[in-house]
Amino acid sequence: MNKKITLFGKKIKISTILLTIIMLILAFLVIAPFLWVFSASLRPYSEATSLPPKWLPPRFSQWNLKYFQKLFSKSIPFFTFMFNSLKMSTVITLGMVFHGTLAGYAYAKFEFPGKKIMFALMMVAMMVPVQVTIVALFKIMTILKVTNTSWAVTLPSIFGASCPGLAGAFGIFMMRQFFLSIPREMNEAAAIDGAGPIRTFITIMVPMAKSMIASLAIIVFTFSWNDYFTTFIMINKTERLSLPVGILSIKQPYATGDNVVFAAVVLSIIPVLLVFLIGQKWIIKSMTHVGVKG
Amino acid sequence: MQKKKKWNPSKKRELRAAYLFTIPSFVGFLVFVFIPIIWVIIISFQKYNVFTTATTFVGWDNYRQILTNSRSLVALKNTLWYTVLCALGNTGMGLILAVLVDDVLPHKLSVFFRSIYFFPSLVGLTFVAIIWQAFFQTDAGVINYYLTRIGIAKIGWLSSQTFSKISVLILDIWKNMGMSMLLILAGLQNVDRGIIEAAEIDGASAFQRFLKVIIPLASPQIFFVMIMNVTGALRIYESISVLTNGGPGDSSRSLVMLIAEKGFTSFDYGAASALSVLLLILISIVTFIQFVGSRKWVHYE
Repeated sequence: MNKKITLFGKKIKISTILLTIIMLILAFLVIAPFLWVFSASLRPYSEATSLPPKWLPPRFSQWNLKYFQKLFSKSIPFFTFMFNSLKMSTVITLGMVFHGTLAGYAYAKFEFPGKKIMFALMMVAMMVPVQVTIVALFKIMTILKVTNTSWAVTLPSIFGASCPGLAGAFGIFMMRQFFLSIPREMNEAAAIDGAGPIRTFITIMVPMAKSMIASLAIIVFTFSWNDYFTTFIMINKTERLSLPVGILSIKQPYATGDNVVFAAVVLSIIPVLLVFLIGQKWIIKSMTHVGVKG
Repeated sequence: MQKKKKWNPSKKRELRAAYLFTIPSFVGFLVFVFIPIIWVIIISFQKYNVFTTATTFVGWDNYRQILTNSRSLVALKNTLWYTVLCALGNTGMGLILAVLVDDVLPHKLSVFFRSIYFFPSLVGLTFVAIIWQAFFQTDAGVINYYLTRIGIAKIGWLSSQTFSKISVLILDIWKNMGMSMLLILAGLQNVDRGIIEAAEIDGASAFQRFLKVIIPLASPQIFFVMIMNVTGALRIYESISVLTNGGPGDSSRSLVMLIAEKGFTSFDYGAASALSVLLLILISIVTFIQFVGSRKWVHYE
């Protein structure tokens, strides 16, 4: 396996080439569904669903944009769904970043009665997903009179319900880990300069945590953009649905003879793809960070 | 210095800031996470009458009902099936991918493959489930097309009781293995390179190094990923709901699907809550195992 051959003027191990081929095949299996849906969304229905499957989109001059145009028409509330998703995800992200940064800092840097029990309680409850509590959560939303509004989704999600497996305290945990890594001397120096704890937090700590806050925001935004369950249970009005739930309502009436839903899937995935391409380093780093420390 | 520490002004300011910072999240936590947990347990001992909207305490009735009802037992069995196979599949594939992308190839190439394998983890399950539903079609589906090309008879991926769960499993592994890869990779990269190189000098083959050195050293991380996959699979829902809607029959229905159905279609809050508590117990068991496991591993590090 350690034999070498010459390729592009470089000596390369045969095992390296074999490995690359295996990984390319795996990579194709991973991205095949995305290739297919993109190609299918640009073809007439009969062509898109005919076999053998067409993995690559047609030539640019032959793109069939009929289904994308349909999404813009009034008959399908696709952009209403997209706007709802954008609105809900933004509110959830802002809310979680705000309280997560505050509480994460306090749990990392302050000593106060009740700290241990409060934090422990949240960490334990972090394991309980929203699927367990949904019946009671629904009742609470009824008491707060917010069912069928986006608040029924955003309020619980701000406190972690939409982050899979990390209900309750996801943002707090992540920010606490970060602030724990900042040396205590930093706070002491600020205190000697006469800065109070709140001023130290705003003027020194938040700027230092900028990239961590950005990572948290990206993760929370992506998860809430994709969240299905909470919206599905809480909202029962088509015009208030988010994209993941709403897209299924597009699917039903057009199930036969129409692949407008594939165009909808493409447009729903593109924002995530853009966020990933731009923030990929941050995402991967912070996911790993949470994983390792978790 | 020691005396009256509590009362000096800077300490007081710190205390005020501490509560100011923690109260918003803690109140939110109580209202939207903690109280619902307690309340679900309470509701599981009640019966709700849809017509009179009266609730009555019924003791263990709901539990007796769900534990003798064949549908919920099937859902429980399916959920355990998903949990074991999704957890093993995701962790196993994650481990294989992690080893493949752990800088065996030139760094840039490894990073490129990492990104590709990870991408599906970020995309919403409903979006990709719609694509996979098209792939799994018996006559027009992509998968059966390639199977018949290599001489295998068409499979009713979504329409047969035997294969409905397997289809859900395939989608789940395809979607989530990248996340497991990323987390295991972090564990592998924390492994001391010196130990691996020493094994290499001692003449251990790549496979031996992997089995005898890398896996044991990265085992705390692999264990964590396994737990994460188990808790994830216990609440499996969206993929089934799009692909098969629980069918055919109840062959692919999960506990969470039954909770949603009982609670929000037939408004049997009591039974839905009893099922929720059942799920809560399963999750608590897993959490307890994680707690014990991670304690055990602290000594090794």
